[in-house]
Amino acid sequence: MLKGVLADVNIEGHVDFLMAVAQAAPWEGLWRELGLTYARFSDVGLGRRAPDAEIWQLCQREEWLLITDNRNQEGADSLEATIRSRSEIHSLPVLTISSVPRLRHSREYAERVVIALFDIVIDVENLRGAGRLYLP
Amino acid sequence: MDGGIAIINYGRGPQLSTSRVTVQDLFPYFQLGYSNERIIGEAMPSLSPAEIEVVRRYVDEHREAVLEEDRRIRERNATRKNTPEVEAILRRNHQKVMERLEALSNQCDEASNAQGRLG
Repeated sequence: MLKGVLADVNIEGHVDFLMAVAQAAPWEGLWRELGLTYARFSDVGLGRRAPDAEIWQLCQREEWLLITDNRNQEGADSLEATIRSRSEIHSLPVLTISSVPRLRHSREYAERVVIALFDIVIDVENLRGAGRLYLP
Repeated sequence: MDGGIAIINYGRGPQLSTSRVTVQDLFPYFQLGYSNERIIGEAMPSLSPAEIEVVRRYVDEHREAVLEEDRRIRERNATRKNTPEVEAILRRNHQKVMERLEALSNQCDEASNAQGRLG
């Protein structure tokens, strides 16, 4: 059962902001009803140097949806390579925000990202195995 | 190296030795003119000013390579999107979100009305 949302260290401050939006009107009742938790790496025992494979494994084992940026090279140890090589039909997807710095410059954009997040978490079961999902 | 902070590469691109944050994670904020304090406050609260300074120096010393990699990443990411199958699922899920929001709003209205009658 999905535990909640986990922020990557390269995006923690922005996810803090998104979670504040998601837990305020008009969405706070839905957030409560879904019973989700928001966590940073330190909350789940991950170090800030944690490799992508370790993060991905923890998310699958403990049922966290990782939210991250995608500005890294896609070498053998990358998150993209980990998703491609290890994702199975029951694996939780990884969520990628398309335009991270824009979150603080446009409330309308931040709200679109929050709605897209709810569109995923309300029924994540039918999105397992999708690999990476792109938020607007 | 600066106080034990270095730039290394494990295959994800140049990154801090002390954090999984990469040069390319920080580069857009440098381009936007963010101060170290603003980067820490808005984006990456786990970083220290010293770590960001190490990345700034790396960018100054490797500007052409960093700009070229930034261009490649932007081109790559511009082509990435959800598959039509995923988009169809998300549209169905969106309907569920709207229905739950409406139901919760109605419950809230009914509770307010009941309280008004009691008052």
